[in-house]
Parts: sequence; structure tokens; C-alpha cells
Amino acid sequence: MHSTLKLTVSHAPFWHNGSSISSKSRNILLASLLAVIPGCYQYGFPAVGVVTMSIASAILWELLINFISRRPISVGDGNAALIGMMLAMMMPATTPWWAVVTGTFFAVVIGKEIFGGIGANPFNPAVLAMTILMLSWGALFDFNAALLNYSFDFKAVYPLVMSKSFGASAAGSFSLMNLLQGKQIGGIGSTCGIGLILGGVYLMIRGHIRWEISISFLVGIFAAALGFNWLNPELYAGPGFHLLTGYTLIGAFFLATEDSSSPVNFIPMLLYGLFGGVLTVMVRNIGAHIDGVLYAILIINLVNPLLDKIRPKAIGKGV
Amino acid sequence: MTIDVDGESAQTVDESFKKVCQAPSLENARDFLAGLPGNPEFKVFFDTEKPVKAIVVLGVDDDLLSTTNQYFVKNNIIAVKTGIDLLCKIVGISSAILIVPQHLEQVAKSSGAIIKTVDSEYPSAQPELITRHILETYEDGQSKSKSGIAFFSAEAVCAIGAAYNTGKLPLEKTVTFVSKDGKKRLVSVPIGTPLQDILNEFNETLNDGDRVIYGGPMKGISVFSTEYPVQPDTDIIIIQDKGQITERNDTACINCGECVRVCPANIQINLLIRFLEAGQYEEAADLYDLYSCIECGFCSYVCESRIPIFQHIRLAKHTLDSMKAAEDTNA
Repeated sequence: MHSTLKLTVSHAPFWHNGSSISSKSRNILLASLLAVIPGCYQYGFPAVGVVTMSIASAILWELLINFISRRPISVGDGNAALIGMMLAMMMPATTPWWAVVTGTFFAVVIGKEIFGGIGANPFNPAVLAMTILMLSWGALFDFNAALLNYSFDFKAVYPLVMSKSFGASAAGSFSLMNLLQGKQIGGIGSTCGIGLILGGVYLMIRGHIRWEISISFLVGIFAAALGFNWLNPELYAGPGFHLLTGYTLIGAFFLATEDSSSPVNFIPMLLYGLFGGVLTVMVRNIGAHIDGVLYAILIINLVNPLLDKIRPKAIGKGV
Repeated sequence: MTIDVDGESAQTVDESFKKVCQAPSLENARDFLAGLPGNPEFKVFFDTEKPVKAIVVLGVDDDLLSTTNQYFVKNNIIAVKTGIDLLCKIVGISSAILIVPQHLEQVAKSSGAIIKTVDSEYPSAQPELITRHILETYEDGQSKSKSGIAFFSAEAVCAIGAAYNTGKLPLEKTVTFVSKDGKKRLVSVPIGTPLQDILNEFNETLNDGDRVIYGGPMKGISVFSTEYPVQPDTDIIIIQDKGQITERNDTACINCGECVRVCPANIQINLLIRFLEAGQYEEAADLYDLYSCIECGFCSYVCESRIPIFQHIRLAKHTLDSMKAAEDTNA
């Protein structure tokens, strides 16, 4: 007698811990809202426009590439939406639509898809795109000029410009409490310190980002800023200022931790973050650019494969 | 619970074994006892390049959910002792090492063997890890990899003892049966019993798309028919409902590194899998530690992309082994 029962047959293991790329993307998107919603509240509808435009166009670019390269539709994993969100978080609320769409093109197509899609990109796509935009249309992303028409109840000057031009005393005119609460100008989702920290802590606890990278990145910034401040307290701002301004927090929790472009072993993760943090402060204090986070992250992305060679021996190999 | 064979002549006595069982030796153990419950392996004793230095009896189960071997240590330590003594005698080794989980250490002491405990956490009970972590202090300082270690399950040891003492070959296999609702029961069945008989006994019904696993959730195999018989080494049978099954897919590795951090063998799986997916098995073996894998299945369990990493690894090893075998015959 032949049974017609059809059993599922597959390879071990037969359990899975339930994680997936889409749930990871969803969680990071949710965590980023903690910073994006205060940003949208601060800058009003133009900010909402930039965020939605960025997410939507990132998804469409990925869809287009899926069709052109005849590969399975991959927008469902949420990675394109995430890239769009990250990019929007770094942009000022006044960014014109064409710059947003160009930005997501650079991020999704140049930053990710031409390398083979998710997991194959050597650089963080959003950081790469933002750097290209800033170098190409500097005036659009000069926060002081871009946000000129807004009136705020706090000091509406980009803090890093102040410290760069006028030294530590200018940096001292920003109270750390205000900076933490997001009372500073900057990218839509990169100024609200509290939101970014809460989101980052949530992601670290849930294991969606690797805490080693975030913490060592912040430690690197703290240590380097402290060192500079100690050398010349007049010229260089203290560590608290560096930790709460520019792209520091979004960089530590959302950008440097991108999976594909960061190491996976313990010591390399620490070195990667530390190096990024120190580099950031060096660019800010003695480099030509105003904020060093983006360049620092691109450079640590570059050395990531090298760092990841520091690894424990597999069992049975060498003694 | 016990499932019996129908009819009266449940077991015919093997006369030729009865003749030799008065004088136990390795040769007749190899000839007669290979298919006993617990699947004892005597081949290692005949490998002249790697003389067996130690007998290790596993009173632990090497996969999750299974309690078969622990059951024998807990409830039948005397039979385990009988088996160990007999085994030591025929092999000519003074004492065996009995591996048990911590909570059974006291019970196990009465066996007279050297007791070593392992963590109850998976995958500490894998023979590879036991060799590495527990047997590190080796009396005469000889390298572990050079000398052979014979592994026996507690059940196999009991069966060997019973076979020589009674002159009858035991056929009852103890199996941990896990039904769809997650309930765990121990059942004693003759080797060769089709799955359907066990299902009937427990009133378990299967539907299309369900999964039946022989062996544990991490290392077992899924079978395609309810006629599949209980094997000498089937310690556990698991029934999974269609809804409990996670689908695998072929998304690329996203380099999240979960597998690397969970791997007990310290393999860089994020790099290894790239070579395996491309079919570059030789590079994988030479550069990325393919053969260090102890096959615990953790990497597939945690994979965010849900890549069947474990399957890729086994496929690679199998392909390389068969290539090597082909080369050897052609040489």
C-alpha cells in the first residue's frame, strides 16, 4: 500500500531562532523614528517630505535595478527603505527633491546594487551617497545657509562650524543639555540626541546592531576629544560637545554599524569603532572638513576586511 | 511505554552468537554486535594506525530534546556498569571515561568509571568538543589526534553487557518521542519498527507538509515516509507541524556575523559561506577551515538571511570526500 501523505523534507537544523532581514530592517526603522519624529516636529512638513521622498525613491531605485538585472524582487527585505531613511536623517529639511532622488540613486545603485546587492557593499551606502552629495553640492548641505529661513528658540548656528571657526569658547556657548534635547540645527534625524541614544540602546539590547562598534566609536570620540582638549583647551572643544554634535550619534548607532561594511569579530569590532571615533575628531579638529563622521566611516569601511583578519584560530588548526 | 512485536516468537535466539558469547572478544563483538541499540562501533579498534587509548561512554545526548542516554545513566546505572566493565575487559583498557551532565554526577559515580561532566548547554556534548575540552589532560601526554578514542553511547554499553550476559541480542531501542504539541515521551521499540506504529500508539496524526525528524532538531534527518523504520542510532523522533517550519532561502549573506560569534569551532562562516555558495569547495577547505566544523548546526539556526549554511557545509564535505575517493581509486 502506497501512502499519499506528503511530508516536508529538508536539511537540519529544524529549528530557527526566528530572526530575519526584514525584521531587522523593521526594528532599525522603528528605532530611527525616535530621532526622526522630533526632527519632523522641529522642521515641519518639508522634513516629512524629504523623509518620505527619500524612502520611496530608494525603494523605487532598488525595484528598477531588480527589473534591469532580472533578479528576484528584493525590496521586501526593507533594506532599501532603511537606506532611504538613513540618508534622509542626515539631510537638512530644505533639501530639494532632485537632490534627494539623486542621493538615493547614489546610495542604492552605486553604493549597494552594483556590488551585488545586500551584503556585498564595501561601504555604507547612505554614507557614500551623502559624501558624494556634500562634495558635489556643498551649498545645499551647509546647514547654516540651508536652514536660514527657520526661526528657532535656540541658537540657530551649526555647532561644528562655530567650534571650527571660533574655537572652544564658541563651542562652550552651547549647553550640553540643549544639544542632547536636539536644540541645535542639523540633519533631520541627526540632532535629537536623546532619541538617537534611546533608539541605539534598544537596537543594542535586541542585538540588531553590535554594541561593540557603537560603544567603541563613542569611546574613540571621547578619548580623542579629551586629548585635543587637554593639549589646547582654548582651541579644541571638550568631549561632551563632540559627542552630541554633528553626525556623531547617528554615526555611532546607525551608520558605522551597517552589517556588510563592518567587522564581525570581537577585537576587530572594537578597533574599528575606536579608529572611527579618533578619526572623526581628527578631521573635525585639524582637517579641512567641518564634520568628520562620514569620512571616518568610509575609511573604517575600507580597512574593515583587513581588521577582520584578526580572528581566533579555528579548532584543530595550528596549536 | 513499550511497543511489542506482534506474535509469539518475538525474538529468535541467534545460535552462533550464543556459542561465542561465553568468550567475549573484540572480534566477535565486531561480528555480532554492530547493529545493537545505540549502534556500537567496533571498527576503531581495528585501525592499526591509531591505537585506541580510551573508551568514552556518552551518558549525555548529543542533540537537544533527546533524553535517551541520560535515561540509561539515571535509571539503569548497574547495566551501564556491567557493560563498561565488560567492554574494558575485552579491549584491555583499565577504565573507561563516562561523560554525564552535571545533575547526574552523583548517580554516575557508582559505575566505577572515571566521571567527567559536561555543560548541559548545546553543543557541549558533541564528541569533537568532548575530545577537545574534557580529554585535554591525557595521562601519557600523547597527542589526542594521534591516538584513537572509541565513543559508545550509554545505551550501546548496556546492550553490549546484556548481549554477553544473556546470550541474546537485545533489540529494544529506547527512543525519545516528541509529538506535535511538544510533549516528550520515552518509548521502547524493537529496532525496525515503522514510524506508523509509534504514531498509532500515541494517536498522532500527520498531515501534508508536516515534518518527521529522526534525530534531534539540530542534527537529525527528516524522513519522507511514515514507513521509515527505527534505526539502531535513532535516539529521538520529532514530529513538527507544518506551521512550525521555518523556510530557508537563498538570499545572500548580509555579513551580520551572528554565525561567527556563535560558532563553537571559531570558523569565519561569513567568509566560508561565500565560497560554499560559489561551489569553491577546495578553497573553502584550504583557506576557511571547512574541516574544523563539528556539525552542530548553530550557524543555520541563527542565520538572519536564513541560508541553509549547515547543508552547504555537509554538501561541500561530501563532494570533497567523494572527489578524494575517486582520486584514490584512479591513482
